Amino acid sequence: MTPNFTHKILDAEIPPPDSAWEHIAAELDKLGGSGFVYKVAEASIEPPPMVWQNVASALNSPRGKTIPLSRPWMKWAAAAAILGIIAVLTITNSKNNLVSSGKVDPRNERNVSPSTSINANESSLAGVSPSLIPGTRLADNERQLPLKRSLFTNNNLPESPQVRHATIESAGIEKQDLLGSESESRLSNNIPSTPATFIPAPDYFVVTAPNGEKVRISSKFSDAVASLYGGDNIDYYWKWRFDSWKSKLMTNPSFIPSAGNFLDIAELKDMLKEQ
Amino acid sequence: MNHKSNYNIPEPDLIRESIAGNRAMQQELYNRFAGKMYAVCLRYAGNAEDAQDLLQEGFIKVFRNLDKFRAEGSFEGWVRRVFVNTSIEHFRKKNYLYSISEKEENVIEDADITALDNLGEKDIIKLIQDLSPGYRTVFNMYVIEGYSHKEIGNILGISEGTSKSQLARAKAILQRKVKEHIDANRKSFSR
Repeated sequence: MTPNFTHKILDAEIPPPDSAWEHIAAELDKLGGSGFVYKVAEASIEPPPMVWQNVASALNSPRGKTIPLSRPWMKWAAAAAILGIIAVLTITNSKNNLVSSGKVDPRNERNVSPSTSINANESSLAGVSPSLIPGTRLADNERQLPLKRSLFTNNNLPESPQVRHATIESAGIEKQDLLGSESESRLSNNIPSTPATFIPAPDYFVVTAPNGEKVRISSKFSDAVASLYGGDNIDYYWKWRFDSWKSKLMTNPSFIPSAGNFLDIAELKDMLKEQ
Repeated sequence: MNHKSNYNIPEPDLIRESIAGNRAMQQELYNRFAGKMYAVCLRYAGNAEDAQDLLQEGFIKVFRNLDKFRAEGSFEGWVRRVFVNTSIEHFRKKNYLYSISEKEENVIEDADITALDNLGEKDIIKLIQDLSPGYRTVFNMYVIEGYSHKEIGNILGISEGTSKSQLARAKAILQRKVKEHIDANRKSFSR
């Protein structure tokens, strides 16, 4: 084959039959408007400028699912969600700080205010000071707490008190803190009983204890406290009942009141019912 | 932002530099295809906001999978396929599949939509956007992208017959809409 021949073959032109184009056009028509298909397929519409910025920022970030935020309401929703998360984290953090600083017993956080502390100096109901609750769980071998007798000396308790292990465990009280020198002689009958101030609040009310410390109490108990200490409308029957409960609370060997947990009174009530 | 592309840069160089993370080249690649791909997204999305989301998602996929392009076909074809797949995925995620009735409708006469040839591409895209999601997707896949009914059925999880009836219904709606559009334009022109 000479190069000339190859060239001839490659450049050869033979007119097709006249009907060839008609067949092709008919086939194109079958596709449904070939003209508009090409138009649509080749269409180019300038996108908004922010798309590239979003793409570029997504490429800068580590690989992960990209959440498109083209809608204005989505931006607001995202901003609100971020603010919400920050708020939750801030609240959680402040609670943790309060717990770590001893102002809140995590076990009783629903009922006790951050400022709860019932007169540790005066050997009050706060048998275990909140400051001694680090929030760590006990090791298995530490759960059986051999409580010192001296802890109960003010109350003439039996020598081998039955300890509520479950309570201690769930509170995560450290053994050495519970039994430390500061913990001694904390239980007494001296529960603050004369609130100086009474500030109603939607969920809580605040009572100022005799030592000047403010105690926040769930409003669920507002009627009971008001009837006891409300001034003109003292219900002496309930006052007597509460005094007797307090006395039982302090002298019951199986009961270790937690740090300022007002619900312990309710628990005591159940206990009395059982008796 | 200027979307004009610098066509002096050869495509293979653009791809190589984009894979290497050259941001200027990535933007150049974006500029080169953004217009066409936005048109694809508008066709599938139904509104501009969803189309922007698709465009963004599609380009991120393109850049993150650029190294998988084997240069066996045209690069634009590959990019377009990424966008079409992204759009179909979007269609699935939004549960638009429920909008496709599996009931195969009675045979509808195949509507003549060649009148669309007389419209500009933006008008055509607008008419396609106005179709319901099911009709729109099947129409785009069959008429514009060239999928067969069998392929559409497999991709969308519907039967071949449903795909056919959806397409026929879409064409009939488009035919009516084109007529309305042309009539409306005539009226406004004659005023």
